[in-house]
Order: sequence, then structure tokens, then C-alpha cells
Amino acid sequence: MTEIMTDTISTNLQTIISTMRLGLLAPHLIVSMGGILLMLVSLLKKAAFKINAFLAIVVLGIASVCALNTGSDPQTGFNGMIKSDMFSNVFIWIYCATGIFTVLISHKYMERRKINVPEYYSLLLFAVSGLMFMTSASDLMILFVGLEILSVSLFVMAGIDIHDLRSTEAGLKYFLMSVFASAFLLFGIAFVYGATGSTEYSAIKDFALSNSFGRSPYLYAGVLLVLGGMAFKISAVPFHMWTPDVYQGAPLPVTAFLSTAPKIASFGFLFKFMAQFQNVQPYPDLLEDIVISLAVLSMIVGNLLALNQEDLKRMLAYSSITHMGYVMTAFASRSDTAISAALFYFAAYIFMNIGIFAVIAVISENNDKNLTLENFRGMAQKKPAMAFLFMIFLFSLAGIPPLIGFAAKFFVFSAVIQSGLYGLAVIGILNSAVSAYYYLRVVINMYLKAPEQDSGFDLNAIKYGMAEMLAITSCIAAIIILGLQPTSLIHFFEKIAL
Amino acid sequence: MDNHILSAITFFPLIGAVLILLMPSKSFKLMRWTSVVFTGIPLLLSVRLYQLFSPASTGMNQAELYQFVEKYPWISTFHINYYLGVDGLSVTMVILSALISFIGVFASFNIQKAVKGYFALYLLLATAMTGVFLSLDFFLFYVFWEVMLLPMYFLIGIWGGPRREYAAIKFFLYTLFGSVFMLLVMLVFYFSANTFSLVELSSIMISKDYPGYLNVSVIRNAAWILLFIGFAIKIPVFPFHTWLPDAHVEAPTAISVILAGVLLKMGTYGILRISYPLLPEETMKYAPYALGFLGVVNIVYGAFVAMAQNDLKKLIAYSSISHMGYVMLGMASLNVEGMNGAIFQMFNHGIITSMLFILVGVIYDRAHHRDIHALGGLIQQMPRYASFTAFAFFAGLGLPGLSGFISEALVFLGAFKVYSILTIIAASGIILTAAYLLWAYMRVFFGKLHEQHREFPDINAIEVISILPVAILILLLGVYPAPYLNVVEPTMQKMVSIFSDSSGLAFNLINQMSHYLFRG
Repeated sequence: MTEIMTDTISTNLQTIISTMRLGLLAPHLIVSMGGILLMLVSLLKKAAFKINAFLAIVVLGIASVCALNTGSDPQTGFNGMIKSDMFSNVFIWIYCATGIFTVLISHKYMERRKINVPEYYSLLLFAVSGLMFMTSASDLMILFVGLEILSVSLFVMAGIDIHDLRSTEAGLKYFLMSVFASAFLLFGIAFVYGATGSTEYSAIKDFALSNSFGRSPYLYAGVLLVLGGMAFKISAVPFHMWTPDVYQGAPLPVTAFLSTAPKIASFGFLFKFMAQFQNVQPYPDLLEDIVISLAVLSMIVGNLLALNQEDLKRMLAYSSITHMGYVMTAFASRSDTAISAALFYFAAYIFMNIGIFAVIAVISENNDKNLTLENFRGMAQKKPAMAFLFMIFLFSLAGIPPLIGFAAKFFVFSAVIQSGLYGLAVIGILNSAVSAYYYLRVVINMYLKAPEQDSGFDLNAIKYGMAEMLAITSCIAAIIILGLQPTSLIHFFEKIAL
Repeated sequence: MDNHILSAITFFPLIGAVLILLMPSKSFKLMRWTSVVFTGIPLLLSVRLYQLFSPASTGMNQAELYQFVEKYPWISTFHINYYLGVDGLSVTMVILSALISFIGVFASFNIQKAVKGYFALYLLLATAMTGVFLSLDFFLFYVFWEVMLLPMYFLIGIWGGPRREYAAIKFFLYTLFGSVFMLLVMLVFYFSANTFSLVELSSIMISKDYPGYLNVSVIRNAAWILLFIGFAIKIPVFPFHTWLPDAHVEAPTAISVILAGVLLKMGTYGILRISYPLLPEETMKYAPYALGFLGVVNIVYGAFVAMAQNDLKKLIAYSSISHMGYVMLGMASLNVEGMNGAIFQMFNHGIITSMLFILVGVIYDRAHHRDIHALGGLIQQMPRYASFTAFAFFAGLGLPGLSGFISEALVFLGAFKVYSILTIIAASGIILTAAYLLWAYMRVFFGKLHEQHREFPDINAIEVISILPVAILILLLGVYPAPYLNVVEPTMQKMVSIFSDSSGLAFNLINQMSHYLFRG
């Protein structure tokens, strides 16, 4: 009896090990090991903050090179819990790039603000590894683990500025909201498991295809709850309440990271997960309607709330809700080009958002006050180069050709029109016109208004470090070059299928 | 050079803009003359273009009938090309935009604030304007159209008058709203026909073999209306016109000149280049109302409002609205006379209004206000200025012998055949125009000269340079319009032919409807 048991255990172990295929997780493991290494370094060295910044960049660089090696053919490992393909590789590159940009813009800011905790960088690496797990997962449990790794790191990062109460508030708010979102997600996963008997994507797909979606209310409810949980992360309306407070309170480099990578990862998961139901006949109307309404609400509410914001960070928070609304329209369209359009949008969004937060980080390093639009009065006269760069980012966010923001919107709305959702396209395009107003308000303050005498906001004190300039200039270069010539990038993305 | 003459005309100003950005910011003189050179070369090239142009290039739906075509792939996944070419419709508009850009530089010589930025943006604007007129790819057209917005926004917003911020953002948002509609229609066309080429699209649409979504008539109708709104904002058509007076009043002189001289034409040009050949059936359906009726509203409303103005510049701005109404009426007639008149009126309005705005700028430089009541008797102090203004005002009210007369007469000739009552109402616009212009002239130049105006110098050499070429052109084309009309007419004939070819039934229906509505 015991012999038989040990036999089965050993054969099971063998099969488990043979199906593991650790190589698929190379980037994930490198980044998380890197995080641990950085923690050790922070114990040992006094100048650890500087060393860690450097190491973090190296680790992220190596990880992105490793993603190249895993190859473009889809491969599954860990008993089908992990799937590595071109789609996940692209996301890994996006995360690594975002991570590197974040390190570049963090260093000086954190030092000036006296929050140069060396562990910050290891938290960043953990967050990146969480992101990678979210995208590589082909099982809802792995997804959940990835999401939690990400969220726990982000709570701490958002609240890392112990001198500033608002940062603590941001950390706490993000924590509470994430817990709420996780509860949604877990509840949804439980429902899905209850309905299908599995948490693996392919098994869920088989179940959905054989039993029409609508006939299984548990699967339906589960999918909707998963969607709701993700909508928190994306900060789609009506799950957006945390966004402005967290953006405003968290240290700027953290905001830059928070506003890009986690949202992109959540969308990555949604694309991957919902693709399982692509061929379900008939496609559930309610699901489609809900996605469309999330998109419409995000675009409209985000815009309306951004219109009159006086605080720059809050304005960008609301505008990011709108931007995610645009991506949501592509997601809703389920057309052939939706994925490539969304991927292009993510790339564009990273360059624009990281760039603009980098500029704001530089401006606010020496200024403790709130960043209101008034503070930017006459910036063009005092800091012409900085104002000019800032303006390019704003125009790109507003979607003015020939910058990348326009190309991105063009591809997204193309996908929407391709699937015949004209109403959605009209709403999206109108919103993109409305959004120009609040981006222009900043430009008006910088260029058309005379500088204020005693705003207590010293524009002259602005000085930029090498790392920040490197981040800003590479973002600007990408915005202009990819705006003028998006062909190769969109072509590359078009070859990526799920 | 001749092979790439269109790209050269388009991008020379941009090279100038880059050079100016590299100059030390104190060398005002160098920047001014660089701008003269880099708008002068495109002007010379466009004259050369006119010489080389053969009127047989009637363009429209036949790719081989465009001249100086340049076509290179740009964004290949979406079949977007860098595609330039001219036909009879665009060639004169290119000359207009090159000419107006050139004389606008002289009108900018008195700019003192941030000269470097001003001329760099000005030259960027010149590139974008020319690009709009030359693009044969819908996407490229749209990109140039949008790029034009940015320099204009800053030129009004930074160098403008006291309410410049308001005027600049109003201009920006109005135009942006119009253009996003255009973007939408553009995408619908692309996903139906899989091309952005305006030439291919028009040949597909004229053949009535509607692909994809365009097979649905509701979508075609919606497309026409959305395109119309986009272009109507630019023309501007009543009730979308309110940005124009604000923008003009606040804009510096040269920018008003560009705005009235070239930018407004883009609206009507867009309708002729895109709505007409791409949606001929819908054009026949909507032209009587959207272009004919609203055109007459523009003429009469613009003239009445102009009469009530005390600000000389606002008066000219409203007269622009009124004059663009003639263009619309001519276009709505859908016959050769009317269309010839419309496109000639586009050109004439461009040159006449530029002259008017420069002349208003001259008095503003001296008096620092434009209040008609506060002026008076200037003919004693500035006789040369008074005579130039008289010439421009007469051109504006369509005096025979000056170019405006011919285009207006052609418009009426064409329109009367189709909409007799509307045309009669429109003709009253001529009287109204004469009334407000002559009344304004009287108040500014006759009567008692104010004491503080005694020091005013007469019009100077630079100012004369900037209006003389235009004045000569107004006179020449007024006496002998053939050089213009010969170039335009074959293209217009071809454009009209798509409306007479395509289903006689629809056209009859329109005729009947317009008969009821407009002939009474």
C-alpha cells in the first residue's frame, strides 16, 4: 500500500518537474531575485540608495533581454498555469521599460525629499515581478498571486514619504481599495471555479464553448466580478474614486509608475482572459454592454471631472481615467485590430505619462506646495526649454498630430469603427476633443500668462539631473518619432495574437 | 526641382522655421528677412507651378489627371501615403496661400514681442496651410489640417490683443470639434474602401458601387452632415461663426490676414475636395439647404451685423462671413458658372480681405484703436492711405473692373438658374455691402480731423510693399479674369458632370423641392 503511494508520488513529482519549465519564468525570477538582492544590499551598504538604483536598472535590463530568449512560440509550463508567448513578452518589455523609467525619475526626487530608502527599489522590482506574473498567468490563481505581489509593493511605495501625511493617506487609500478589488476578484474566481470546475483559462474556455455562456449564471456572475475587480485597478468609472487622492498624495515617481504599469497589466489580463470567450455563441450581450458602459462612463466622467481641476496631479488623474476609457473602447470592440491598437496605446501612454510626470517631478522637487495650474504662470519665460517639453507632452496627450498620442487614438478608434460601433467611436472622438481644453489650460498658463510675483512657487529653482533628462528626452524622442512613423511598431504589434 | 515642386512649396517655410530657431534671439532683422526669403521662394515656385500647369489636369477621380504627383508610402499598415498632387481646384489655392503668406511677413515686421517664436510659428503655419491644399490622401489632409491649429493658437494667444486667451482657445476648440467629425468620417471611409486616397475614394464613390458600410444610405448621409459641420466651422457658416470675430479682433494684423485670406478657404476647399466627389448623391440632396440657404443667410446676416460694428476690424471680419456666403451659394448651384464663380470668389476674397486687414492694421499701428467713431478726416492727413483704402473698399463691394465683381456676377449667374428667389435675396447683400463699407469709409476719412491724429505719418514703404502685389492682382483679374478662369474651368466642368450624370431622378427631385422652397 505504502509502496504504491510512494510510487505514485514519485511519478507525479517527475511529471510535475518535467512540466514546470522554469525557463519560461526567467524574467520573473530574475526580477524577484533582484528584489531580494537589493534588500540585502540595503542592509549592508550605507550608500545603498545609489547602488540599488543602478542595480535595479541592470536587473530590469537583464530581464527584458531574457524575455527575448523565451521565444515567440506559445509555450505553457507549470501544468498549464503559465503561458509564455509574444503577447506576454511584449508586456514584459513594457514593464521593464516602465520600471527603468521610474528608477531614472525617482532617484533625484527621492533624495531631495529625503525619502531615499534603499528598499524602495526592491519594492519596485517586486511590483514589476508581480506585473509579469499577472500577464504570464494562464490560471486565475497565478493571476491573483501576481496581483497581490504587485499591490502589496504598491501600498508601501505610495506611502513611502513619511514626512508627508498625504502620502500616508494615499498608501492607506490604495490599500483599502485594493483589498476591496481583491475581494471582488476572489469572489469572481470562486464563482468561475464553481461553474467550470477549474481556474485554468483553457478549461474555462472549453466549458464556455460547450455550455453556452448564458446558460451558466455562475460563470456569468464570476466573469462580471472578475471584470469589476479589474475595473478598480484600471480605475474605470464607477470604480475610480481612489485615483485622484492616490495620485495627488503618492510621491511623483510612484504616481508615474502607478498610473501606467498596473493599469496596463490589468488590461493585459483582461485581453487574455476575455479572449477565451471570443467564440462563444451567442456572445453575451450583457457582458458587451457592461464593457461599453464602463468605457463610455470612464471617458465622459473622467473628462468632466478633469475640466475644472486646479491641481495638476488631480487633473492628470482624471485624464488618465479618460485615457483608460479609450483603451476600454478598443477592448469593447473585439475587432481584429483591437489588441494591436491597445498595445500601441499602452506604448504611447507610457511615454506620455512617464514623461509628463518626470517633468512635474523636476518642477516640484524644490517646491513643497501643491501643484496648481496657477503655479505654471509664465513658465515659458522663466524656463523656456522645460515649458516646451511640457507642452509637447500635453499636446500629445490631447491627441494632436503628428505626435504619438494622435496615432494611438487613431488606431484605437479605427478598431472601434472596424467593428461597427459608431456610437462608441463618436463618443470617444468627441471626448478626445473635449480633453484638449484642460490640457490647453496648462499651456495657456505657461505661455499666455505673465509670471506671478509671489506665488511662493519658485520656478527659477528648477534644476534637472542627468537621469531625469535622459528619461524626458527619450520619451520626447519616442513621442515625435513614433508619432511621425508609427508603421514599424504597429506592424510589430499586429503580428501578436492571443 | 520640378518633380518635387509641391514638396518644395510645402516645406520651404518649415526649413525657414528651423533656421530661425537656430538664430540668436536678438537678431530681429535677420529673422524678418529670412522669413521673407522662405516665403518668397514658395511664391516664386508657385508661379512656376502655374506656368507649368496644364488646365487639362482635371484631377478628381482620375489619378493620371493630377500633375506633379508625389506618392510615397507612409504608414503602410493603414495604406496611408504621402500623396501630393494638383488639379485645377488646388493650383490656385496654392498660389493664394503662398502669396498671402508672403505679404503677411511684411505685415509682421512691426512685431516686437518674442520675434523668434513668432516667425517660427508663422512659417510652420505656412507649411501646414499649403499642405492642406496639396494633400490627396485623406489622412495627410487631416494631419496638415490639425497641425495648422497649433501655430494659429499660439499666434493669436501670445501676440494677440487683450482678450487673446479667450479668442485663442475658442478658435482652437471650435476647429478641433469640427475636425474630429472629419476624423470619424475618414475612418468610416477607410474601413469601407480600404484606402485613404481621395482619388481612389472618389472613383469608387462616383461609380456608385458602394463598399462596406457606405452601402447603408444613413451612413452616407451622416457622413455628409458630419463633414459639413467640420468644414462649416472653418468657413464659418452661420451659426458656427462666433469664433471668427473674436479671433480676428484679437489676432495681430498678419494673422488676421492669414486667417481671412487662407484659413477660411479651407472650409470651402474641403467641401469641394472631399464632400463633393466622395458623396455626390448626398451633395445634391443637401447642397440647396446647407450651402444655398445657409450661404444666403451668411451673406445677409454678415452684412447686417457688419453694418452695426464700430470696430473697423470686426466690421471686416463680418464682411468676410458675408463674402464667404457668395462662395457657398455658387457652390450650391452645382453648375459651371456658379462653381467657377465660387472658386474665383475664394481667391478674390482671399486677396481683397488681406488687403483690407493690412489697411486696418496700418491705422491701428498709428491710433492704437480701431473705433470708427473716434476716427475721422484722415483723408487730409493720410491721402495715400485713403486712396489705397478706397481701392480696397471698392474691390470689397464688387465694383466692376475689380476682381470681386466678376466672381460675384458669376455666382449670381449660376445660382439664379437654380434658386431664383434665394439669388434675389442674396443680391441685396451687394447693396448692404456697399452701404456698410461706404458708410465706414465716410466716417473714417471724411469729416473733421481730430487734433491727436495730426501727427500720423502716411502709409510707409513696407506697408505699400505688402499691399501692392495684391492690389495689382485685384485690378488685373478684374479687367482680364481669363488667366484664372481658364485654369479652373475644366476641373469645375468635370466636377459638375458627376452631378448631371448621376441619377437624373434625384436631381429632378431636388429641383422640384428647391422649386417649392425657394422659387415660391
